[in-house]
Amino acid sequence: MAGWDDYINILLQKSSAIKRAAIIGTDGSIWARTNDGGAFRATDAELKKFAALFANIKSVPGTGADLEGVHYIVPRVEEKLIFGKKEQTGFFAAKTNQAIVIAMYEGDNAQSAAVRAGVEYLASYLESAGY
Amino acid sequence: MSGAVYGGDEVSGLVFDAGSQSFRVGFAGEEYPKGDIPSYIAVQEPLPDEVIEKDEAMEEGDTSKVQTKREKNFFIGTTKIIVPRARTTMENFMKEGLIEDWDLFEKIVEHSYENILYSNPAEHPVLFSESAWNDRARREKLTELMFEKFQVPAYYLSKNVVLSCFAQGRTHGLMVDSGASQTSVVPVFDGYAITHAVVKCPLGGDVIADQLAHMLEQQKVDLVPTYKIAGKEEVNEGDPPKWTAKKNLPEVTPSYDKFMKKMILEDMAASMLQLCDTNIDMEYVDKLPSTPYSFPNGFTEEFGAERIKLPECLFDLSYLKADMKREGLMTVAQMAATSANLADIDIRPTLFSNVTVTGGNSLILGFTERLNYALATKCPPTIKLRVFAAPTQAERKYGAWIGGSILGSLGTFQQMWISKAEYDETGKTIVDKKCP
Repeated sequence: MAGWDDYINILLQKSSAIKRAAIIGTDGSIWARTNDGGAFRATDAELKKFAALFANIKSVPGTGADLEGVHYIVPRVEEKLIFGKKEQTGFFAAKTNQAIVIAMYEGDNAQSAAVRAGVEYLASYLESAGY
Repeated sequence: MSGAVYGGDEVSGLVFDAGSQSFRVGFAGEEYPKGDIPSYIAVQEPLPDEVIEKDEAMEEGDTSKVQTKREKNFFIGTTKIIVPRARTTMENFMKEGLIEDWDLFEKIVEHSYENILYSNPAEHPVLFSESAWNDRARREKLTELMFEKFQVPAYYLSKNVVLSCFAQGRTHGLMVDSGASQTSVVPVFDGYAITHAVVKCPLGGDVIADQLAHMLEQQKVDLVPTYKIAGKEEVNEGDPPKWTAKKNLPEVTPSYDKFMKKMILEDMAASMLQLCDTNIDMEYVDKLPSTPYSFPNGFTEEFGAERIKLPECLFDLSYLKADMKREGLMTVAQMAATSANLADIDIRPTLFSNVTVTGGNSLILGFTERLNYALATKCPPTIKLRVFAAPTQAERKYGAWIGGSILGSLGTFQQMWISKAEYDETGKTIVDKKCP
Protein backbone atom coordinates (compact mmCIF):
# COMPACT_ATOMS: atom_id res chain seq x y z
CA MET A 1 0.00 0.00 0.00
CA ALA A 2 2.20 2.73 -1.28
CA GLY A 3 1.40 6.31 -0.55
CA TRP A 4 -0.08 5.97 2.92
CA ASP A 5 2.85 7.95 4.29
CA ASP A 6 1.77 10.85 2.12
CA TYR A 7 -1.50 10.96 3.98
CA ILE A 8 0.40 11.25 7.23
CA ASN A 9 2.24 14.23 5.82
CA ILE A 10 -1.03 15.84 4.80
CA LEU A 11 -2.31 15.36 8.31
CA LEU A 12 0.79 16.87 9.88
CA GLN A 13 0.40 19.92 7.71
CA LYS A 14 -3.15 20.52 8.93
CA SER A 15 -1.97 21.71 12.28
CA SER A 16 1.39 22.42 13.82
CA ALA A 17 0.07 21.07 17.08
CA ILE A 18 0.03 17.51 15.73
CA LYS A 19 3.16 15.84 16.98
CA ARG A 20 2.66 12.22 16.04
CA ALA A 21 0.17 10.47 13.86
CA ALA A 22 -0.73 7.13 12.41
CA ILE A 23 -3.28 5.40 10.22
CA ILE A 24 -4.15 1.94 11.44
CA GLY A 25 -6.53 -0.72 10.24
CA THR A 26 -9.57 -1.62 12.28
CA ASP A 27 -7.75 -4.74 13.42
CA GLY A 28 -4.97 -2.66 14.92
CA SER A 29 -2.40 -3.18 12.17
CA ILE A 30 -0.33 -0.16 11.22
CA TRP A 31 -0.75 1.21 7.70
CA ALA A 32 1.39 4.30 8.17
CA ARG A 33 2.96 6.26 10.97
CA THR A 34 5.25 9.14 11.73
CA ASN A 35 8.84 8.14 12.34
CA ASP A 36 12.21 9.39 13.57
CA GLY A 37 11.96 12.14 16.13
CA GLY A 38 8.22 12.16 16.18
CA ALA A 39 7.68 8.43 16.06
CA PHE A 40 4.21 7.21 16.87
CA ARG A 41 4.98 5.06 19.83
CA ALA A 42 1.90 2.99 20.44
CA THR A 43 2.54 -0.73 20.61
CA ASP A 44 0.63 -3.24 18.53
CA ALA A 45 -1.18 -4.58 21.55
CA GLU A 46 -2.30 -1.08 22.49
CA LEU A 47 -3.52 -0.44 18.99
CA LYS A 48 -5.54 -3.64 18.91
CA LYS A 49 -7.23 -2.61 22.11
CA PHE A 50 -7.72 0.91 20.86
CA ALA A 51 -9.30 -0.19 17.61
CA ALA A 52 -11.73 -2.34 19.57
CA LEU A 53 -12.89 0.71 21.50
CA PHE A 54 -14.75 1.96 18.47
CA ALA A 55 -17.04 -1.03 18.66
CA ASN A 56 -18.50 0.21 21.90
CA ILE A 57 -17.90 3.90 21.57
CA LYS A 58 -20.42 5.12 24.12
CA SER A 59 -18.63 3.36 26.96
CA VAL A 60 -15.26 4.91 26.21
CA PRO A 61 -15.69 8.12 28.24
CA GLY A 62 -16.31 5.99 31.30
CA THR A 63 -13.01 4.20 30.97
CA GLY A 64 -10.72 6.52 29.05
CA ALA A 65 -8.22 5.30 26.50
CA ASP A 66 -4.58 4.25 26.55
CA LEU A 67 -2.10 5.17 23.86
CA GLU A 68 1.68 5.20 23.90
CA GLY A 69 1.56 4.06 27.49
CA VAL A 70 -0.34 7.14 28.58
CA HIS A 71 -3.84 7.01 29.96
CA TYR A 72 -6.07 9.65 28.41
CA ILE A 73 -9.34 10.85 29.80
CA VAL A 74 -12.01 10.84 27.12
CA PRO A 75 -14.31 13.77 27.71
CA ARG A 76 -16.03 13.41 24.40
CA VAL A 77 -16.98 10.86 21.78
CA GLU A 78 -19.04 11.20 18.69
CA GLU A 79 -20.32 8.69 16.22
CA LYS A 80 -16.90 7.77 14.84
CA LEU A 81 -14.63 10.05 16.76
CA ILE A 82 -12.78 9.66 20.04
CA PHE A 83 -11.25 12.69 21.67
CA GLY A 84 -8.80 11.98 24.46
CA LYS A 85 -7.04 14.47 26.65
CA LYS A 86 -4.47 14.63 29.39
CA GLU A 87 -3.49 18.09 30.62
CA GLN A 88 -1.94 19.87 27.69
CA THR A 89 -1.78 16.89 25.34
CA GLY A 90 -4.41 14.79 23.70
CA PHE A 91 -5.46 12.88 20.64
CA PHE A 92 -8.20 12.66 18.08
CA ALA A 93 -9.06 9.37 16.46
CA ALA A 94 -11.55 9.11 13.62
CA LYS A 95 -12.76 5.87 12.13
CA THR A 96 -13.37 5.26 8.46
CA ASN A 97 -14.69 2.05 6.92
CA GLN A 98 -11.47 0.11 7.19
CA ALA A 99 -9.09 2.36 9.05
CA ILE A 100 -8.62 4.67 11.99
CA VAL A 101 -6.78 7.98 11.70
CA ILE A 102 -5.02 8.96 14.92
CA ALA A 103 -3.30 12.26 15.64
CA MET A 104 -1.49 12.99 18.89
CA TYR A 105 -1.24 16.67 19.63
CA GLU A 106 0.18 19.06 22.17
CA GLY A 107 -1.61 22.33 22.56
CA ASP A 108 -4.54 24.16 24.01
CA ASN A 109 -8.18 24.03 23.17
CA ALA A 110 -7.96 26.45 20.29
CA GLN A 111 -5.37 24.30 18.56
CA SER A 112 -7.31 21.15 19.30
CA ALA A 113 -10.13 22.42 17.10
CA ALA A 114 -7.72 22.57 14.17
CA VAL A 115 -6.40 19.09 14.96
CA ARG A 116 -9.91 17.74 14.99
CA ALA A 117 -10.69 19.38 11.69
CA GLY A 118 -7.54 17.84 10.18
CA VAL A 119 -8.32 14.35 11.43
CA GLU A 120 -11.91 14.51 10.25
CA TYR A 121 -10.85 15.86 6.88
CA LEU A 122 -8.47 12.98 6.31
CA ALA A 123 -10.98 10.44 7.58
CA SER A 124 -13.73 11.64 5.29
CA TYR A 125 -11.35 11.70 2.35
CA LEU A 126 -10.30 8.12 3.00
CA GLU A 127 -13.92 7.04 3.31
CA SER A 128 -14.79 8.61 0.02
CA ALA A 129 -11.83 6.76 -1.51
CA GLY A 130 -13.29 3.49 -0.27
CA TYR A 131 -11.12 3.00 2.80
CA MET B 1 -6.46 29.67 10.21
CA SER B 2 -9.22 31.33 8.38
CA GLY B 3 -10.71 32.78 11.55
CA ALA B 4 -10.38 36.47 12.19
CA VAL B 5 -8.30 37.41 15.20
CA TYR B 6 -9.72 40.06 17.49
CA GLY B 7 -7.60 42.17 19.79
CA GLY B 8 -8.59 41.35 23.35
CA ASP B 9 -8.90 44.97 24.44
CA GLU B 10 -11.08 46.33 21.69
CA VAL B 11 -13.60 43.57 21.67
CA SER B 12 -16.67 44.11 23.74
CA GLY B 13 -18.29 40.75 23.58
CA LEU B 14 -21.79 40.09 24.85
CA VAL B 15 -22.65 37.24 27.14
CA PHE B 16 -26.10 35.63 27.10
CA ASP B 17 -27.02 33.07 29.72
CA ALA B 18 -30.52 31.69 29.27
CA GLY B 19 -32.21 29.96 32.18
CA SER B 20 -35.69 28.75 32.99
CA GLN B 21 -36.18 31.42 35.61
CA SER B 22 -34.30 34.34 34.18
CA PHE B 23 -32.34 35.42 31.15
CA ARG B 24 -29.03 37.03 32.01
CA VAL B 25 -27.35 39.34 29.52
CA GLY B 26 -24.48 41.77 29.69
CA PHE B 27 -21.04 42.74 28.48
CA ALA B 28 -18.02 40.49 28.75
CA GLY B 29 -15.46 41.79 31.18
CA GLU B 30 -18.03 43.19 33.56
CA GLU B 31 -18.67 41.84 37.00
CA TYR B 32 -22.41 41.26 36.79
CA PRO B 33 -24.95 41.03 34.00
CA LYS B 34 -26.62 44.26 32.94
CA GLY B 35 -29.92 42.56 32.53
CA ASP B 36 -31.65 39.87 34.51
CA ILE B 37 -34.98 39.48 32.72
CA PRO B 38 -37.56 36.92 33.82
CA SER B 39 -37.85 34.12 31.29
CA TYR B 40 -41.59 34.49 31.35
CA ILE B 41 -43.09 36.62 28.62
CA ALA B 42 -46.62 37.96 28.80
CA VAL B 43 -48.33 37.21 25.51
CA GLN B 44 -51.54 39.01 24.83
CA GLU B 45 -53.99 37.81 22.24
CA PRO B 46 -55.39 40.71 20.24
CA LEU B 47 -59.12 41.39 20.24
CA PRO B 48 -60.46 39.96 17.04
CA ASP B 49 -62.50 42.67 15.40
CA GLU B 50 -64.99 40.55 13.55
CA VAL B 51 -66.97 43.24 11.82
CA ILE B 52 -64.02 44.91 10.16
CA GLU B 53 -62.48 41.59 9.22
CA LYS B 54 -65.66 40.45 7.55
CA ASP B 55 -66.03 43.65 5.54
CA GLU B 56 -62.45 43.48 4.36
CA ALA B 57 -62.92 39.90 3.39
CA MET B 58 -66.14 40.68 1.46
CA GLU B 59 -64.36 43.32 -0.55
CA GLU B 60 -61.65 40.93 -1.57
CA GLY B 61 -64.23 38.30 -2.33
CA ASP B 62 -62.54 35.79 -0.08
CA THR B 63 -64.59 34.88 2.95
CA SER B 64 -62.80 31.66 3.76
CA LYS B 65 -60.25 33.14 6.11
CA VAL B 66 -62.00 35.62 8.31
CA GLN B 67 -59.79 34.73 11.28
CA THR B 68 -57.83 37.58 12.59
CA LYS B 69 -54.16 37.66 11.64
CA ARG B 70 -53.43 40.53 13.89
CA GLU B 71 -50.16 40.50 15.79
CA LYS B 72 -50.03 39.36 19.38
CA ASN B 73 -48.59 41.73 21.92
CA PHE B 74 -45.48 40.65 23.78
CA PHE B 75 -44.44 42.10 27.10
CA ILE B 76 -40.95 41.42 28.35
CA GLY B 77 -39.27 42.46 31.57
CA THR B 78 -40.41 42.41 35.18
CA THR B 79 -42.12 45.80 35.18
CA LYS B 80 -44.19 44.92 32.13
CA ILE B 81 -45.19 41.35 32.84
CA ILE B 82 -46.63 41.95 36.27
CA VAL B 83 -49.25 44.37 34.98
CA PRO B 84 -52.66 42.65 34.92
CA ARG B 85 -54.00 42.51 31.39
CA ALA B 86 -56.86 40.71 29.76
CA ARG B 87 -56.24 37.71 27.50
CA THR B 88 -52.61 37.55 28.57
CA THR B 89 -50.84 34.28 29.28
CA MET B 90 -47.39 33.82 30.75
CA GLU B 91 -45.21 31.77 28.44
CA ASN B 92 -41.74 30.47 29.07
CA PHE B 93 -39.41 29.89 26.16
CA MET B 94 -37.47 27.23 28.05
CA LYS B 95 -38.39 23.73 29.01
CA GLU B 96 -36.17 21.38 31.03
CA GLY B 97 -33.18 23.60 30.44
CA LEU B 98 -33.55 23.61 26.66
CA ILE B 99 -34.94 26.28 24.37
CA GLU B 100 -38.38 25.21 23.19
CA ASP B 101 -40.12 28.26 21.85
CA TRP B 102 -37.81 29.90 19.34
CA ASP B 103 -40.13 32.79 18.50
CA LEU B 104 -40.27 33.89 22.11
CA PHE B 105 -36.55 33.38 22.43
CA GLU B 106 -35.95 35.64 19.43
CA LYS B 107 -38.16 38.28 20.99
CA ILE B 108 -36.29 38.21 24.26
CA VAL B 109 -32.94 38.47 22.48
CA GLU B 110 -34.21 41.43 20.46
CA HIS B 111 -35.44 43.02 23.64
CA SER B 112 -32.01 42.54 25.22
CA TYR B 113 -30.22 44.22 22.34
CA GLU B 114 -32.62 47.14 22.18
CA ASN B 115 -33.59 47.86 25.74
CA ILE B 116 -30.81 46.54 27.90
CA LEU B 117 -27.59 46.49 25.95
CA TYR B 118 -28.43 49.32 23.53
CA SER B 119 -26.17 47.60 21.02
CA ASN B 120 -26.22 46.74 17.39
CA PRO B 121 -26.03 42.95 17.08
CA ALA B 122 -23.72 43.16 14.09
CA GLU B 123 -21.04 44.90 16.09
CA HIS B 124 -20.43 42.55 19.00
CA PRO B 125 -19.33 38.94 19.29
CA VAL B 126 -21.74 36.92 21.39
CA LEU B 127 -21.06 34.14 23.83
CA PHE B 128 -24.03 31.93 24.60
CA SER B 129 -24.40 29.40 27.35
CA GLU B 130 -26.15 26.07 26.90
CA SER B 131 -27.16 23.12 29.07
CA ALA B 132 -24.82 20.17 29.19
CA TRP B 133 -27.57 18.01 27.68
CA ASN B 134 -28.30 20.30 24.77
CA ASP B 135 -28.79 18.42 21.53
CA ARG B 136 -27.16 18.96 18.20
CA ALA B 137 -30.25 20.25 16.43
CA ARG B 138 -30.76 22.99 18.97
CA ARG B 139 -27.13 24.03 18.96
CA GLU B 140 -27.13 24.35 15.22
CA LYS B 141 -30.43 26.19 15.25
CA LEU B 142 -29.13 28.73 17.73
CA THR B 143 -25.99 29.21 15.66
CA GLU B 144 -28.08 29.73 12.56
CA LEU B 145 -30.37 32.17 14.34
CA MET B 146 -27.56 34.33 15.62
CA PHE B 147 -25.65 34.49 12.36
CA GLU B 148 -28.56 34.74 9.97
CA LYS B 149 -31.06 36.85 11.83
CA PHE B 150 -28.87 38.94 14.08
CA GLN B 151 -25.82 38.99 11.78
CA VAL B 152 -23.39 38.71 14.66
CA PRO B 153 -19.75 39.02 13.66
CA ALA B 154 -18.56 36.21 15.93
CA TYR B 155 -20.13 33.62 18.17
CA TYR B 156 -19.32 30.90 20.67
CA LEU B 157 -21.37 28.38 22.56
CA SER B 158 -20.24 27.14 25.92
CA LYS B 159 -21.72 24.77 28.48
CA ASN B 160 -23.11 26.67 31.43
CA VAL B 161 -21.52 24.36 33.99
CA VAL B 162 -18.09 24.88 32.46
CA LEU B 163 -18.62 28.64 32.74
CA SER B 164 -19.69 28.33 36.38
CA CYS B 165 -16.53 26.34 37.01
CA PHE B 166 -14.42 29.11 35.48
CA ALA B 167 -16.25 31.67 37.59
CA GLN B 168 -14.96 29.83 40.64
CA GLY B 169 -11.46 30.02 39.27
CA ARG B 170 -11.14 26.31 38.54
CA THR B 171 -11.11 24.10 35.49
CA HIS B 172 -12.13 20.86 37.21
CA GLY B 173 -15.16 20.17 39.33
CA LEU B 174 -18.26 18.15 39.95
CA MET B 175 -20.75 20.87 39.24
CA VAL B 176 -24.01 20.63 41.14
CA ASP B 177 -26.34 23.13 39.53
CA SER B 178 -29.64 23.54 41.35
CA GLY B 179 -31.84 25.90 39.41
CA ALA B 180 -35.49 26.62 38.94
CA SER B 181 -36.59 23.77 36.72
CA GLN B 182 -33.81 21.24 37.12
CA THR B 183 -31.07 20.11 39.41
CA SER B 184 -28.21 18.62 37.46
CA VAL B 185 -24.80 17.26 38.23
CA VAL B 186 -22.14 17.49 35.54
CA PRO B 187 -18.47 16.58 35.90
CA VAL B 188 -16.17 19.15 34.36
CA PHE B 189 -12.61 18.10 33.69
CA ASP B 190 -10.00 20.39 32.23
CA GLY B 191 -12.64 22.77 30.98
CA TYR B 192 -14.65 20.03 29.26
CA ALA B 193 -18.05 18.89 30.43
CA ILE B 194 -18.21 15.10 30.48
CA THR B 195 -21.55 14.94 28.77
CA HIS B 196 -22.17 11.23 29.13
CA ALA B 197 -21.95 11.52 32.92
CA VAL B 198 -24.66 14.17 33.23
CA VAL B 199 -27.34 13.33 35.76
CA LYS B 200 -30.38 15.53 36.01
CA CYS B 201 -33.76 15.49 37.61
CA PRO B 202 -36.63 17.98 37.55
CA LEU B 203 -36.36 18.83 41.25
CA GLY B 204 -35.67 22.50 41.60
CA GLY B 205 -36.97 25.85 42.72
CA ASP B 206 -40.26 25.34 40.88
CA VAL B 207 -40.95 22.11 42.73
CA ILE B 208 -40.20 23.79 46.05
CA ALA B 209 -42.65 26.54 45.17
CA ASP B 210 -45.28 23.92 44.36
CA GLN B 211 -44.70 22.17 47.65
CA LEU B 212 -45.12 25.48 49.43
CA ALA B 213 -48.39 26.11 47.61
CA HIS B 214 -49.58 22.69 48.66
CA MET B 215 -48.68 23.31 52.26
CA LEU B 216 -50.49 26.64 52.30
CA GLU B 217 -53.57 25.01 50.82
CA GLN B 218 -53.52 22.38 53.52
CA GLN B 219 -53.23 25.02 56.20
CA LYS B 220 -56.11 26.84 54.53
CA VAL B 221 -54.08 29.97 53.99
CA ASP B 222 -55.53 32.03 51.20
CA LEU B 223 -52.74 33.10 48.89
CA VAL B 224 -53.85 36.42 47.44
CA PRO B 225 -51.52 37.79 44.76
CA THR B 226 -50.47 41.42 44.93
CA TYR B 227 -52.30 42.64 41.86
CA LYS B 228 -55.67 42.03 43.50
CA ILE B 229 -54.96 44.07 46.61
CA ALA B 230 -55.97 47.70 46.79
CA GLY B 231 -55.25 48.18 50.45
CA LYS B 232 -54.82 46.32 53.69
CA GLU B 233 -54.98 46.83 57.41
CA GLU B 234 -52.59 45.70 60.06
CA VAL B 235 -53.83 42.69 61.99
CA ASN B 236 -52.36 40.62 64.73
CA GLU B 237 -50.49 37.49 63.90
CA GLY B 238 -52.76 34.62 63.05
CA ASP B 239 -55.85 36.82 62.77
CA PRO B 240 -57.81 36.73 59.55
CA PRO B 241 -56.57 39.40 57.17
CA LYS B 242 -58.49 42.54 56.37
CA TRP B 243 -57.89 43.78 52.87
CA THR B 244 -59.78 45.55 50.16
CA ALA B 245 -59.85 44.26 46.63
CA LYS B 246 -58.88 46.38 43.66
CA LYS B 247 -61.77 47.45 41.51
CA ASN B 248 -61.98 47.36 37.74
CA LEU B 249 -59.39 44.65 37.31
CA PRO B 250 -59.32 43.18 33.81
CA GLU B 251 -60.21 39.54 33.55
CA VAL B 252 -56.87 37.81 33.83
CA THR B 253 -55.96 34.31 32.71
CA PRO B 254 -55.25 31.49 35.18
CA SER B 255 -51.65 31.38 33.99
CA TYR B 256 -51.12 35.00 34.97
CA ASP B 257 -52.74 34.41 38.36
CA LYS B 258 -50.56 31.36 38.92
CA PHE B 259 -47.47 33.33 37.96
CA MET B 260 -48.22 36.13 40.41
CA LYS B 261 -48.84 33.63 43.18
CA LYS B 262 -45.55 31.94 42.32
CA MET B 263 -43.75 35.23 42.87
CA ILE B 264 -44.99 35.30 46.44
CA LEU B 265 -44.09 31.64 46.95
CA GLU B 266 -40.57 32.27 45.70
CA ASP B 267 -40.20 35.15 48.08
CA MET B 268 -41.42 32.95 50.91
CA ALA B 269 -39.02 30.21 49.97
CA ALA B 270 -36.08 32.57 49.84
CA SER B 271 -36.75 34.14 53.20
CA MET B 272 -37.92 31.17 55.20
CA LEU B 273 -36.63 27.81 54.11
CA GLN B 274 -33.75 26.06 55.73
CA LEU B 275 -32.12 22.68 55.40
CA CYS B 276 -30.97 20.49 58.25
CA ASP B 277 -27.18 20.04 58.36
CA THR B 278 -27.45 16.32 58.83
CA ASN B 279 -30.26 13.91 58.23
CA ILE B 280 -33.48 15.27 59.51
CA ASP B 281 -33.97 14.86 63.20
CA MET B 282 -37.50 15.20 64.51
CA GLU B 283 -36.51 16.62 67.86
CA TYR B 284 -34.39 19.29 66.27
CA VAL B 285 -37.19 20.10 63.90
CA ASP B 286 -39.76 20.61 66.64
CA LYS B 287 -37.43 22.77 68.65
CA LEU B 288 -36.63 25.00 65.70
CA PRO B 289 -37.70 28.58 66.28
CA SER B 290 -40.52 29.62 64.01
CA THR B 291 -40.24 32.54 61.64
CA PRO B 292 -43.12 34.80 60.79
CA TYR B 293 -43.97 35.64 57.22
CA SER B 294 -46.24 38.49 56.20
CA PHE B 295 -48.33 37.90 53.14
CA PRO B 296 -49.20 40.73 50.77
CA ASN B 297 -52.77 40.79 52.02
CA GLY B 298 -51.68 41.56 55.57
CA PHE B 299 -51.97 38.05 56.95
CA THR B 300 -49.01 37.04 59.10
CA GLU B 301 -48.23 33.50 60.09
CA GLU B 302 -45.44 31.76 61.90
CA PHE B 303 -43.88 28.73 60.30
CA GLY B 304 -41.71 26.36 62.27
CA ALA B 305 -41.30 22.73 61.32
CA GLU B 306 -42.46 23.34 57.74
CA ARG B 307 -39.40 25.48 57.11
CA ILE B 308 -37.22 22.44 57.36
CA LYS B 309 -39.56 19.79 56.05
CA LEU B 310 -40.23 21.46 52.73
CA PRO B 311 -36.76 21.67 51.17
CA GLU B 312 -35.98 18.24 52.63
CA CYS B 313 -37.52 16.78 49.49
CA LEU B 314 -34.29 17.62 47.69
CA PHE B 315 -32.40 15.19 49.88
CA ASP B 316 -35.08 12.76 50.93
CA LEU B 317 -37.75 11.94 48.40
CA SER B 318 -40.21 10.72 51.02
CA TYR B 319 -40.82 14.35 51.92
CA LEU B 320 -42.32 15.08 48.55
CA LYS B 321 -46.03 15.75 48.85
CA ALA B 322 -48.22 12.94 47.65
CA ASP B 323 -49.20 14.20 44.22
CA MET B 324 -45.65 14.38 42.85
CA LYS B 325 -44.54 11.36 40.84
CA ARG B 326 -41.48 9.82 42.38
CA GLU B 327 -40.26 7.46 39.70
CA GLY B 328 -37.14 8.64 37.98
CA LEU B 329 -36.34 11.17 40.66
CA MET B 330 -33.14 11.15 42.65
CA THR B 331 -31.89 13.13 45.58
CA VAL B 332 -29.11 15.64 45.04
CA ALA B 333 -26.57 13.46 46.79
CA GLN B 334 -27.55 10.41 44.76
CA MET B 335 -27.19 12.41 41.57
CA ALA B 336 -23.74 13.58 42.55
CA ALA B 337 -22.55 10.08 43.42
CA THR B 338 -24.01 8.59 40.23
CA SER B 339 -22.50 11.24 38.05
CA ALA B 340 -19.04 10.84 39.53
CA ASN B 341 -19.27 7.08 39.11
CA LEU B 342 -20.09 7.43 35.44
CA ALA B 343 -16.89 9.30 34.89
CA ASP B 344 -13.44 7.84 34.32
CA ILE B 345 -12.13 6.29 37.53
CA ASP B 346 -8.89 8.24 37.27
CA ILE B 347 -10.59 11.58 37.58
CA ARG B 348 -12.99 10.70 40.36
CA PRO B 349 -10.70 11.87 43.17
CA THR B 350 -10.35 15.21 41.40
CA LEU B 351 -14.09 15.46 41.02
CA PHE B 352 -14.85 14.66 44.63
CA SER B 353 -12.33 17.12 45.95
CA ASN B 354 -13.81 19.85 43.78
CA VAL B 355 -17.56 19.53 44.22
CA THR B 356 -19.00 22.95 43.39
CA VAL B 357 -22.50 24.10 44.14
CA THR B 358 -24.12 26.69 41.94
CA GLY B 359 -27.55 27.83 40.84
CA GLY B 360 -30.24 29.97 42.42
CA ASN B 361 -32.00 27.14 44.23
CA SER B 362 -28.82 26.24 46.09
CA LEU B 363 -29.16 29.43 48.12
CA ILE B 364 -31.46 27.62 50.56
CA LEU B 365 -29.77 27.91 53.93
CA GLY B 366 -27.81 24.78 54.76
CA PHE B 367 -27.74 23.35 51.23
CA THR B 368 -23.95 23.07 50.99
CA GLU B 369 -23.49 21.60 54.46
CA ARG B 370 -26.24 19.07 53.85
CA LEU B 371 -24.77 18.06 50.51
CA ASN B 372 -21.38 17.59 52.15
CA TYR B 373 -22.88 15.35 54.79
CA ALA B 374 -25.01 13.32 52.38
CA LEU B 375 -22.17 12.84 49.89
CA ALA B 376 -19.71 11.76 52.57
CA THR B 377 -21.89 8.73 53.20
CA LYS B 378 -22.03 7.88 49.50
CA CYS B 379 -18.48 8.20 48.26
CA PRO B 380 -15.65 5.82 49.19
CA PRO B 381 -14.13 6.61 52.59
CA THR B 382 -10.61 7.07 51.28
CA ILE B 383 -11.58 9.91 49.00
CA LYS B 384 -11.10 13.47 50.09
CA LEU B 385 -14.39 15.29 49.73
CA ARG B 386 -14.63 19.04 49.53
CA VAL B 387 -17.70 21.03 48.62
CA PHE B 388 -17.27 24.57 47.36
CA ALA B 389 -19.90 27.20 46.90
CA ALA B 390 -19.77 30.82 45.88
CA PRO B 391 -20.44 32.96 48.93
CA THR B 392 -22.71 35.63 47.55
CA GLN B 393 -26.20 35.27 46.20
CA ALA B 394 -25.33 37.01 42.98
CA GLU B 395 -22.41 34.73 42.27
CA ARG B 396 -24.60 31.66 42.55
CA LYS B 397 -27.42 32.96 40.42
CA TYR B 398 -25.11 34.48 37.84
CA GLY B 399 -22.33 31.89 38.07
CA ALA B 400 -22.57 30.85 34.44
CA TRP B 401 -22.86 34.42 33.23
CA ILE B 402 -19.82 35.51 35.23
CA GLY B 403 -17.82 32.61 33.81
CA GLY B 404 -18.88 33.71 30.35
CA SER B 405 -17.80 37.25 31.12
CA ILE B 406 -14.39 35.99 32.20
CA LEU B 407 -14.02 33.69 29.20
CA GLY B 408 -15.19 36.30 26.72
CA SER B 409 -12.62 38.81 27.86
CA LEU B 410 -9.62 36.48 27.99
CA GLY B 411 -6.89 37.22 25.47
CA THR B 412 -6.43 33.54 24.69
CA PHE B 413 -10.12 33.11 23.93
CA GLN B 414 -10.19 35.60 21.11
CA GLN B 415 -8.95 33.05 18.58
CA MET B 416 -11.67 30.61 19.52
CA TRP B 417 -14.69 32.57 18.38
CA ILE B 418 -16.52 31.26 15.32
CA SER B 419 -16.38 34.18 12.91
CA LYS B 420 -19.06 35.03 10.36
CA ALA B 421 -16.62 34.12 7.60
CA GLU B 422 -16.14 30.65 9.06
CA TYR B 423 -19.88 30.22 9.37
CA ASP B 424 -20.45 31.30 5.80
CA GLU B 425 -17.81 28.85 4.66
CA THR B 426 -18.82 25.79 6.66
CA GLY B 427 -22.41 26.31 7.67
CA LYS B 428 -24.07 25.73 11.00
CA THR B 429 -22.31 22.42 11.66
CA ILE B 430 -19.23 24.40 12.54
CA VAL B 431 -20.62 24.79 16.03
CA ASP B 432 -20.09 21.08 16.66
CA LYS B 433 -16.49 21.33 15.55
CA LYS B 434 -15.42 24.49 17.28
CA CYS B 435 -17.53 24.45 20.42
CA PRO B 436 -17.12 21.08 22.09
